[in-house]
Amino acid sequence: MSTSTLKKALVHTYMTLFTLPIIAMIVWYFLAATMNFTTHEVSMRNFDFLIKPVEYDGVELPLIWPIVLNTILYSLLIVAIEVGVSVPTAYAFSRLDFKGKRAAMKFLFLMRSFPGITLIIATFFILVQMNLVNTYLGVILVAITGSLPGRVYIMKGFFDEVPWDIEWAAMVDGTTRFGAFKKVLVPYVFSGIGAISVFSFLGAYGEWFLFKLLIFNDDMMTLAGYLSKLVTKENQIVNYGLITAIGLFYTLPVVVFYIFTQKMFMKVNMGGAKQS
Amino acid sequence: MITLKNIVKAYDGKKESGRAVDGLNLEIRKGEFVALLGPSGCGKTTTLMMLAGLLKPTSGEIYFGERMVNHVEPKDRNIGMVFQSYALYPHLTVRDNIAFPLRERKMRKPEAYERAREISKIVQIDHLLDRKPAQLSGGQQQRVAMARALAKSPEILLLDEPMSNLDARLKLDVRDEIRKIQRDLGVTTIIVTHDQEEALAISDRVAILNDGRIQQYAPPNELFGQPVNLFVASFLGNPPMNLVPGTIVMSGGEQTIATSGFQYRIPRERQLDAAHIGKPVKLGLRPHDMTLTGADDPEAIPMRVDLVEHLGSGKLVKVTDPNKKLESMIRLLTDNETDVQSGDTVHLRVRADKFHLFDMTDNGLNLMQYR
Repeated sequence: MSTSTLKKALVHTYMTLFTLPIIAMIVWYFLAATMNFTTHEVSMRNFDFLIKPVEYDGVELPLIWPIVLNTILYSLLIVAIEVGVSVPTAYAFSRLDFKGKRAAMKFLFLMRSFPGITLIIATFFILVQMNLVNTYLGVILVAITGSLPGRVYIMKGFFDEVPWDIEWAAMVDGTTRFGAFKKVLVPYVFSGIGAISVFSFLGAYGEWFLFKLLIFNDDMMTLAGYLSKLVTKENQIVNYGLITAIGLFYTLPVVVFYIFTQKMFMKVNMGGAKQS
Repeated sequence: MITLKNIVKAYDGKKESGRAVDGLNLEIRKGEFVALLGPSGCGKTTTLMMLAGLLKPTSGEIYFGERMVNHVEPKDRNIGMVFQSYALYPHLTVRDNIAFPLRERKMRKPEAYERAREISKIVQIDHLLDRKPAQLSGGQQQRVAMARALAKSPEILLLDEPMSNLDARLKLDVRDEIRKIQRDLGVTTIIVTHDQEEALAISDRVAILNDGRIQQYAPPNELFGQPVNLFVASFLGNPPMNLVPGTIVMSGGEQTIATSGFQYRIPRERQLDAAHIGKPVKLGLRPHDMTLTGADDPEAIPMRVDLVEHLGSGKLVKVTDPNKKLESMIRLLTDNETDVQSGDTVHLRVRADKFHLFDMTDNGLNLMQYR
């Protein structure tokens, strides 16, 4: 055996060993959702939540489909807002000179490092004053306040990478400054926009705390909140079958989403301008 | 015709001394190929950016023909520009890159593509139209950049160090091609470069910049043969001009340059104004304007050879005076047949019509008259 194959074998063994627990977890996940561990009987009974409202241990859960719709709408809205705001903001921070730029940057950084959870009582109070409690607008405002600084920071990094020459070339070639932004810079940082879209989507998709705090109607819940409803009671015998079944349903879109977007991330195209 | 009048560009927060461009005047005729040449930081790129409209001059006026364009946006100036980095749009194919300026002018897609194909033929990249910039070599990218700049038939073509990322061999080819295309299309072209060989080879006139000012603006041979000042003289030429500090004195009724190592009598036809006598000067001698002669030549200066370097096409001989009083060695070029070894004593003859004298009391102004 040559050294290179030995090396390869070692690496593969190593990687397999470390991946095994994760694979085991996923397998168990599927099993728990479909199999009764005491009777070893395989059934799809746990997936009944897909066709009718589920009642379980005194907790009544509404039908899942309106909740799915809520989740999708909410997540896409958050993605649209965060991308729509952070991309132009990051451009401004990266490219323009304006009064208070440094101060604003520092503030962004502070916002990014501050644990937003500590402000939650004040936030709630303000929302009550503004009559925004139990509305999506309220949730969205609080959610993007927490996440925007980070998105702007990431995007600014991407814009900083774009050579000035490219922007100038576009302007010489007949675009306005905004035209250059739209037609040349945005495509240039497209992978960055993809990245923050994914972060935004996943963040919004997994958001349950703000819904728990600010939304009182069950029919306005999203999937994450729906799932968390199952484990609210203390000293409860947890129905793993149901939780994992719903959990599986909850994870599936993320996995599909990941499979499609990772291809895009791998195809990051940064050529065309020689950095000198 | 392009006219720059008293252009000043000061970047924010800089004092008078920190001006990138400081009172620049330049006239460029229609169809002319002009190079802006100078060391880095001399303001040549800033000047180009102001011509493109990407920077606004702090004061002064820029005219394209009769029209003052100070406040005209880059997109409305009808210029083509090639950047040092080429600045191709990475997300577009070569075809779309070249068609981009045309599409911005609301030209219809089939027409723009047709024009892109035509122009790509001129720069010989018509077989690459479907590629992305990342799939091209440096030379090919350079051609795409050129095609994109020429696609909209600009009135003015601006080239910002377009060849600095190419290897030496390719540079020569591309240089010839750029010159040929420029002639064929008759487009007024301004190139910024720090490569003097490139500037001298390619352009009709060269403007030498230093400290944000034009030192001399003339055709290449005039710059080389009749430099107006010490900066131009020492900047141009490779190997560089020898500059020997000295003083003008009267010796035996003749004007003579006295240096620490030798004396050189100024020929009668190149006599200076009497006002210069006693003043410090620098004697400028180009390495190929000196020859080696025999000991019997009364004009010759005896020197000792310190070093001989073989350049392939000839030899670079470094000499100093026998008493080693000169501050630096004098370089001269000889052919391969001349037999010199280090340690030899040689006799140096200066071509009487080719030496230069720079007034050290007046910023190195050239004292010599050439006509």
